[in-house]
Amino acid sequence: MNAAKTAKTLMWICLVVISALSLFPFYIMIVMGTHYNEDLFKGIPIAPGGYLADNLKTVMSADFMGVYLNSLIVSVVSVVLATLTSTLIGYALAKFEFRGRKALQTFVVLTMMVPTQVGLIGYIIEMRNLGVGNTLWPVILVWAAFPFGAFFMVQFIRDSIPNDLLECARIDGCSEPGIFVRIVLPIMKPGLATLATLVFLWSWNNYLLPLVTINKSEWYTLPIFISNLGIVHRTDYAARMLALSLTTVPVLILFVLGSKTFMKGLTAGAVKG
Amino acid sequence: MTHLLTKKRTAGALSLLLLSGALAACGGNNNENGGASPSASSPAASSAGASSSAPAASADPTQLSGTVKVWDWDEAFQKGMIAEFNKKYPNVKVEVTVVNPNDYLQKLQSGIASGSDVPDVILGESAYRGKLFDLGVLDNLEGAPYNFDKSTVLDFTVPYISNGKGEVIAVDQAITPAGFAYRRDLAKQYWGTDDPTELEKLIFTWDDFIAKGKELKDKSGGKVLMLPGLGDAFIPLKGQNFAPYVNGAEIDLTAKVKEPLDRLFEMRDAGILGKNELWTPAWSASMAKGEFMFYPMAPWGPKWHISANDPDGKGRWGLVKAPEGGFTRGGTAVGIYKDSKNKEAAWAFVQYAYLSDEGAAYNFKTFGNMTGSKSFYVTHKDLIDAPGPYDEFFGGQNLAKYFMEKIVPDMKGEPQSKYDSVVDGVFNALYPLWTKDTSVTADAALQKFIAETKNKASDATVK
Repeated sequence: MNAAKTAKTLMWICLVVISALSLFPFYIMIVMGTHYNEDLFKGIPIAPGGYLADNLKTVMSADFMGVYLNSLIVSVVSVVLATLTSTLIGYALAKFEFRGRKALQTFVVLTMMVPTQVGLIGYIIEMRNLGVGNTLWPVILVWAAFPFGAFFMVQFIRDSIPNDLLECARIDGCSEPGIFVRIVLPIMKPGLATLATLVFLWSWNNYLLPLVTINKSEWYTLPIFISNLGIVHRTDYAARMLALSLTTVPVLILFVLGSKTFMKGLTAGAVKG
Repeated sequence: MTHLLTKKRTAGALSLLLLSGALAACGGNNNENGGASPSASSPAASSAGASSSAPAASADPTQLSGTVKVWDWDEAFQKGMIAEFNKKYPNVKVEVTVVNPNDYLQKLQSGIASGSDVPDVILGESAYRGKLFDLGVLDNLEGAPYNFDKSTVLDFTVPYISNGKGEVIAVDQAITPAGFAYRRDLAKQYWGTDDPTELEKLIFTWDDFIAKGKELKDKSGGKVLMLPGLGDAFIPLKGQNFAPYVNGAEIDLTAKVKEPLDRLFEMRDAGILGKNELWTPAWSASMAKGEFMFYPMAPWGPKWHISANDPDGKGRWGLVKAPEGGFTRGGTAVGIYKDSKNKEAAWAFVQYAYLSDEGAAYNFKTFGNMTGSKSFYVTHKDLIDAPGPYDEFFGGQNLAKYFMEKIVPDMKGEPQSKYDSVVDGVFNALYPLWTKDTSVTADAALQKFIAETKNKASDATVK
């Protein structure tokens, strides 16, 4: 009994220490946003400073809310697009036998291996020809064909949805779209949540694509905006830290609230029963 | 049951940490991308007399119309300058997109390669100016419709705004002749004088500089050294060697850096240099602490180095020219895209903001930037003679006058090359090692420098 108690205590100590170590940078980020930039260099600030209002002014003077909205639009629409196409592809490849299925699957894996940077210029030209250059669309549409998402969904659906279940539904007379919406989608919720989280994070933090496709400050997304804060001969790290806090903390809270579903997604399919 | 609960909680905590890590990592990246050293650029500048050019623009400014797109990192400058510009040119709209200098070239190249949006007015910061010139995307300003006359700008600036063919393809955002900012309190304490004229004599040559450095080190018990680090010392040493070292694809690195490296290692071995790297937090903080006597400084330095890093240092600083002459620090060239559809309007803006007397006066008074245009220094001699915006940090020393009278006359220009940024990058990667490992000799350093440059510029021959 004692041994079990000791083990438990040790585990808790480990958890607390690891949590503190991981959360400390976050705390420092938040605190740094409340100091005067040059004071940051005098040592790591532990206590909050009194320069929050001025830093906030620097951040807000550059249309932070507009940029925040841009990022939200990009991330939300990207999530919807990416999960929709990935799920459909995943379902088709995992559960239907048709000609060229294997080739298609190989194609998905192959496209995963091509780095985004390689196709960048071609992609910009494509967007320009579509007439959507210099808007938010190029940053969103890139998620419409998301090979990792398709691959992830193929694996997920193959493992978590029994063929028998689909057969039963067919025997009961459910239409194919009906099966997808009523049977497949509810079972896939954890997988969808995981994919949505990943796409949200990746599009939220995307730097290169908005950098090269957006040439109007009013369409900038958060990473570009933050990298442009205080860049004349002196980098205003304090204002950037504040902007980073404002950028990450709300999203973090959102994910903490939704962590239950997220965790299910991480562990689902890991154990076959 | 408890076990199960604990397991669940552990999994919960771990996944949270994972998520935090993901967010933190991304945040970090942004920050890094964001900006490191805005440093070496120089602020904007001014004007040159209506005399220099401004063809159609000068005919009747109100008749000129169009939209000019500018990519700049200094939004405050553009906002102020555009308002001034529009008083004279009410029908020209200037749109600014804020672009980080670290990302500028990549963004520009993607835009050009894909045929999408490219600004009419393009800025080339010293870190990538040579590469930009080599792209061949800037228009020759000596041709129509600009008809820019290079004799209207200070002679030493011409190589900084010319391409390999000798065509002038840009104007200077501001001139960047540099000297040393020094701590008056330390100079007075250890050398008995804080007068720039006296100091000039004390550090007239680099030999004098090293001798005074040893004296300073001994007198202060090693607490005060001459310069913060090898990076600071190399700026004037390399900068004073104005000889061209690139010929086509041949880089004569030995001619360019052997002598500076020898001097640099002499200083390092004499123990008169600190161990700081440029632009690090410790380097910035050292200005207020009084650990070092000198900092290389161009006209943009009083605002962005001194007043920013030593806000309580009013009267604590002085400006003196470096031993054996001037050098440049930073500098940004401003050019016009060769396929711009608004060349006349773009030129009207460039001419007004960086060359015209009105623009230069506004720029000097507001930002302390000094134009390359000669006429400004005649027309607005009163402005130069009057106290500048940051002179109070320098005990009332007239900085603009000192730069113009003591440093500029020695200045020569240095032709720009696409390999400049490669060489600078290699040096920046190597000097921290030379700071730490004092067993590396100047000769070994040169060989390493050449080898690394060869790796980075594989299309060139390096000697």
